[in-house]
Amino acid sequence: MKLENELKNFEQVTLSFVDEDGYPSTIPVKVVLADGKFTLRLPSGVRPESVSGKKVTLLLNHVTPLPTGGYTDRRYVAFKGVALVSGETLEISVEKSYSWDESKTPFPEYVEVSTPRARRYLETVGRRLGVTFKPSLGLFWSFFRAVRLPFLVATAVPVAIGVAAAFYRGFFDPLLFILTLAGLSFVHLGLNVANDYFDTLLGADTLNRRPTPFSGGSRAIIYGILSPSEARILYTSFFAMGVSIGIYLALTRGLVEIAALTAIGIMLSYFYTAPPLKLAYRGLGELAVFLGFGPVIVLGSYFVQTQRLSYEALAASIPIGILVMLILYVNEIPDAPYDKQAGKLTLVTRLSKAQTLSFLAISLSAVYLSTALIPLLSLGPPTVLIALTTAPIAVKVYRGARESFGEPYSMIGTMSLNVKNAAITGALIAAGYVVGALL
Amino acid sequence: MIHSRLPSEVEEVLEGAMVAVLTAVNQRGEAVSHPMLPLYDREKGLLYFTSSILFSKKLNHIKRNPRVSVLISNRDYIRSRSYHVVQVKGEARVLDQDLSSGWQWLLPLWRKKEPYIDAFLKRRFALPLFWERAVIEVQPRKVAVWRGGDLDSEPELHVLGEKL
Repeated sequence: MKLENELKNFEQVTLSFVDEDGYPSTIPVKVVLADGKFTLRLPSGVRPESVSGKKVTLLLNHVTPLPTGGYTDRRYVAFKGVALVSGETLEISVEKSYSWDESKTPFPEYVEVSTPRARRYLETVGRRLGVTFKPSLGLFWSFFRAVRLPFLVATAVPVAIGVAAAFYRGFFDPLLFILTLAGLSFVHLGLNVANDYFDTLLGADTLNRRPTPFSGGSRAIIYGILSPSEARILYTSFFAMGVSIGIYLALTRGLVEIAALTAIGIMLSYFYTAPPLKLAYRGLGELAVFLGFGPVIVLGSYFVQTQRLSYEALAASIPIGILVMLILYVNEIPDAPYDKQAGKLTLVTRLSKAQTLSFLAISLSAVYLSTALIPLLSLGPPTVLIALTTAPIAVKVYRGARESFGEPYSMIGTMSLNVKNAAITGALIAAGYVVGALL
Repeated sequence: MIHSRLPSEVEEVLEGAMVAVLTAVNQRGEAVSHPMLPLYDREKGLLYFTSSILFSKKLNHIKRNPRVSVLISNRDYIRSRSYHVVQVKGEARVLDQDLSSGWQWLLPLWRKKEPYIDAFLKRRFALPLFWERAVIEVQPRKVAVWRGGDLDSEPELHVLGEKL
């Protein structure tokens, strides 16, 4: 980085050095353009000998204030070296430079890479004061962040589909519905926290410099909101609560089927990232999510209501299984470089960009094809076809992924739309069964 | 000139400045500068900054050597009627006993300069460590003022007494 090249890009230039009075001094520097060359000049009142020969820092700073408040285009470059003053002219023998430009390192990334320093500072102050400091978010927001609460929609929708498919066949017990939803939600929360715990332990989340609300994990352990041991206690408790409800339902509604589905669900959830299986690290995470959030949840929810398994419920589980798998899949795109570094070889890390997008297009098409086949194969009412109306959203998801591929912050809109598409399409499938039953 | 407090037109610049360059001395005895939002409390005559612990190097520098300087120089970054380039030298202390909320008493001053700050603070859960903040309190000792931002003229020098 050359000082002469940078001067024209910044409107504020300051020089700092330790002054003769022992204070650091920061002075404005005049930048003069003469004969096509930029030269630096000291302001009046600063004696050249107070600066010359000293170690100095020249800071070039720029922000663009926005009329609506706030700033954009923030950047600075600092040159450290020795000042040489000759007459009015100041020169710097530059020894090193450092800089930040938010167009290259967006502020959230700058924050992320500074996290270890913040944790060290918290620990130092904590030791001094004899307390353990944690980021203060309050109980609700700490919980919200640590368990990734909004993602529970990925459990609620398949449960709704399983129960709606049972309703279509004339079965509905609201208490069993609530118990099923609660049990599966606990397992899902256990999955989220266990996933964070192991991804932090194995490095996939720790290496991620550009996490978003949809990718890069909850960061609860990395930010110190949860300690690793608290995370272990939390996911074990969630799994235990899920299993307890599973056992109750198995004892009251069907021992073999519910015990088997609960066991499969727990295994898929825990070993999604936990050693030795680490399914997500072996390119099997997508399959695990499809099975867990599709057939396992939908068949389980259906069975609890009807006490039987059926091809109809299996057919209902396919589109939502693919949709939830696609939530994971699209969210893996911005994580891919960091996942690869950590040896988490998700499907996205194994495919090229073109292949990743092709798989997305095929999977989105499969959602709507499998939905259309439900009434065509007489496995459900024609009213489920209402879910096909979200196809334009799916097209937007595909286009968004193609246009912002690999740019985490630009992909946030697409990742959000993808979650909405899964929720709306799934909800419409469930509604289709309910309306079909009522007609 | 020895004063008990800063001249009022200087206080106006400090109150209107959106960016200041805060300089501290690092462990190698070198001056290190950071662009920051200055908050001036006219009643106390003290200058404040809040620093996230994410960017805590300067806090450690100040704890080791409390002498700092602050420069407010660029017209574009100053929202006040009068414009002067102001350099303040003084002693700073870091207040970090309560990183979570010990800085929030500065919010009224912060809000005046950045009214949207409350919206960010409501989404504290999005950047939790960013909102763990220490306060840097600067007691001005020596002030140099280049009136009208004219760097070709000699600056006015003001020395502040112990009591402001």
